[in-house]
Amino acid sequence: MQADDATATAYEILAQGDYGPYIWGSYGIAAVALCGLLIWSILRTRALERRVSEQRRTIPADEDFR
Amino acid sequence: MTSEVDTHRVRPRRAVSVANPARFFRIANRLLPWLSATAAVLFAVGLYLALVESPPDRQQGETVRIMYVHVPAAWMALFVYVSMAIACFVGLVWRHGLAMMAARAAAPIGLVFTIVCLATGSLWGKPMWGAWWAWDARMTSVLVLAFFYLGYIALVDAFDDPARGQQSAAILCLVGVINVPIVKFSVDWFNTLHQPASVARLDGPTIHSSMLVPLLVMIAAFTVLFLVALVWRMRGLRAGAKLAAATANAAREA
Repeated sequence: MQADDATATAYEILAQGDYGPYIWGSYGIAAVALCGLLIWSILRTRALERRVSEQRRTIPADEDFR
Repeated sequence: MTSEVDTHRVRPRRAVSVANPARFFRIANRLLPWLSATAAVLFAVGLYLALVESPPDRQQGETVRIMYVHVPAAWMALFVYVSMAIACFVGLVWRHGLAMMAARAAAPIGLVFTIVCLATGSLWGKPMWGAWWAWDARMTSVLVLAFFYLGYIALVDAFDDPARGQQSAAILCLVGVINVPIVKFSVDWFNTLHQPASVARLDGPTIHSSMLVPLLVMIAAFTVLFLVALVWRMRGLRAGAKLAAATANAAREA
């Protein structure tokens, strides 16, 4: 009985009163866009900072890397 | 009587010392882990409240849950643009490089918020209005906002001289500020399909606390996420500038 109740609740949350595709579609778009932006920003920054560190090792006295 | 300044009694103003790029990045890097954790907690709490705890609307039913991503995205789209405009103004008037960098870092983030606002609005509009899109004042002005973001991003990299590109883009950003009150007050000035404001009103919010609290939590989550993304993007721009300077120096010495 409890498993049936839990399944029914999970179904209700997924279905969202038959508006599930619109609601989950909205949350999905927001999640993909915002997480994608954040992940892309982090990866790009780390790659650039890695290149700066490598340059610093080859040109330690360069003013631009202080 | 001498005109020498007693340097021991001259103290740097706090605002100027925080605006120092090296000091700004030291503070930002220390705050970044805390901001990231705060964003994660706010999103966890906000999503639970929005999707599980908050009640359906009397008229809109469960589709009201789209409000908890659509409205924060819309507010952030406007907030980021206004922040960019302030940064551009500071950068143009006081030639402050950090301000220009902040505006350039914020632009793609603001564009993403605007696109999320338009997309979620469309998904909300279809079941409620029967249409994916309508050329009403609110939706059209938000679309114009997206075009201003795109214009800024394109213009800032359109010149061989980065300073000229930043200057031109900053001017475009300031021109676009006129669109912000149009977006905000379009639902009051025009006969629009979009509903009028129900939170940011002079007479106070008109939505129930069971919906207002999740909405405010999600707005806070979006805001902190913006700060996290902004710091990462500014670090990236700083690293890119260092590499570009080193490449230019190497080319001059060669």
